[in-house]
Amino acid sequence: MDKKNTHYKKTSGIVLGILLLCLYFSVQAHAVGIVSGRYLTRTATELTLEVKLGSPTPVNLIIIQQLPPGTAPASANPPYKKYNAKKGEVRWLLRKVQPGTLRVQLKLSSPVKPDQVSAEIRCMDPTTGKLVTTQVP
Amino acid sequence: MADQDIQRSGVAMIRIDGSRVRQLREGQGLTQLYLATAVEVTTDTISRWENHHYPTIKRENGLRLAEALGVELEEILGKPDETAEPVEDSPPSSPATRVGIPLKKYNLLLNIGLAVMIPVVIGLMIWKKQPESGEIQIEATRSLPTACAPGLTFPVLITVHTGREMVLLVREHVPDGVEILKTVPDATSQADNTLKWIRKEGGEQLLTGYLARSAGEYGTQFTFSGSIAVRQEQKQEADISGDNAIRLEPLHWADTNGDFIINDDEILEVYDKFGGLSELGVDLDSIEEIWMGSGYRWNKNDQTIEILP
Repeated sequence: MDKKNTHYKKTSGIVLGILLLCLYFSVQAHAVGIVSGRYLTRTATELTLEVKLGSPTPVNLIIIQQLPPGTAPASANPPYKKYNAKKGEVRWLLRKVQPGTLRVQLKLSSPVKPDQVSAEIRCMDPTTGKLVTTQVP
Repeated sequence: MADQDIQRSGVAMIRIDGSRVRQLREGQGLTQLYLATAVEVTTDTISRWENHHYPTIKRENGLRLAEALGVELEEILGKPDETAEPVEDSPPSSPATRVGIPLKKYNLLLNIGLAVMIPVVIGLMIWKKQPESGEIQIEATRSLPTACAPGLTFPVLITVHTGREMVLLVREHVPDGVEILKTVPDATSQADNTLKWIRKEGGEQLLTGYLARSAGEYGTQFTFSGSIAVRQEQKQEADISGDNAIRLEPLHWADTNGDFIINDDEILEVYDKFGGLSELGVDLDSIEEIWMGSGYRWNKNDQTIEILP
């Protein structure tokens, strides 16, 4: 009987664990659905980041491109707002974005290896009001 | 038959010494399961026998028990003058039960019951929340910074959720010591520390806001209150919920965590909250400047924000 009780407790625990995992992944899926990104171009001196905006669309975005420290941007479209040479971070603040796709182009003053570059997209989830961060490896 | 034999419904019963049974079992390194199998009862039954001092069991079971323990029946019998405690013998073919229901079925019924009850309860809660027929659901929320430097202009936003066009009266009581600089839209009346707007617009969301500033010592707290009212078939009124207090500190109002830096979270929150009411004229550019820099400090003498490069 003790064995049966233990079996039922284990089963209930597993079912609860699966439900919680489903809930967690559904929340993550929702967050991923809001915004996603990928590199269309990642050469030694040119980066093109494509950002897709899902529904509901966040109103404002912050895009951070991580470069090797000391790698200065040569030009950007749209223009970036902030560059931290020490951290190698280039930041954009894009306001009142529209649903769909947008591209961020960055030309670098010195070459980098593709695996030395990554990006992060931050926005407020219109549904929850929480900050959502999406990594672009 | 031994003296301990008792007749119960025609079945010969004997009284055994539960602790002696346990002693014999443990002394031989035997398990309750082994005994249960040998006697053809459940392990629960063996446990009950061992835990009752002098349980009364079927003679037949007593014989099997003694045989399984490798002793004579007399070895496990209880003393004649001890009070017998009749203990039901549960045969293994009927599994251990809880309140007369087989355990497996009990758990199944419990799970089904929960699966039915939880949605019903949630459904009732949602149904309860629905407005009664004829009642309009109105909700208003205030966004107010937690802290702000004395003399620095800060915004207050009141968001009303209506869902449809209606005439609304928005009433906001501003505490003494707070000066109103601008209202959007223009307040219908502004007297005795009370702002009033009469709004007749539709849509999901109605934005009303004002710019204010206050003076005083650090630590002074100002509390705001307000309500919205609508008159359709019957008058309905609701308090404005959300933020209702601001404290004077040497901080920019957008610096919600008070670390003298405007970070990504904070600037996004400012833009998301106040970007929809651009006519209010919140100085988003200077907030952006602080965000782009390494921080700020509050100059108490000039009552200005100094942006650090």
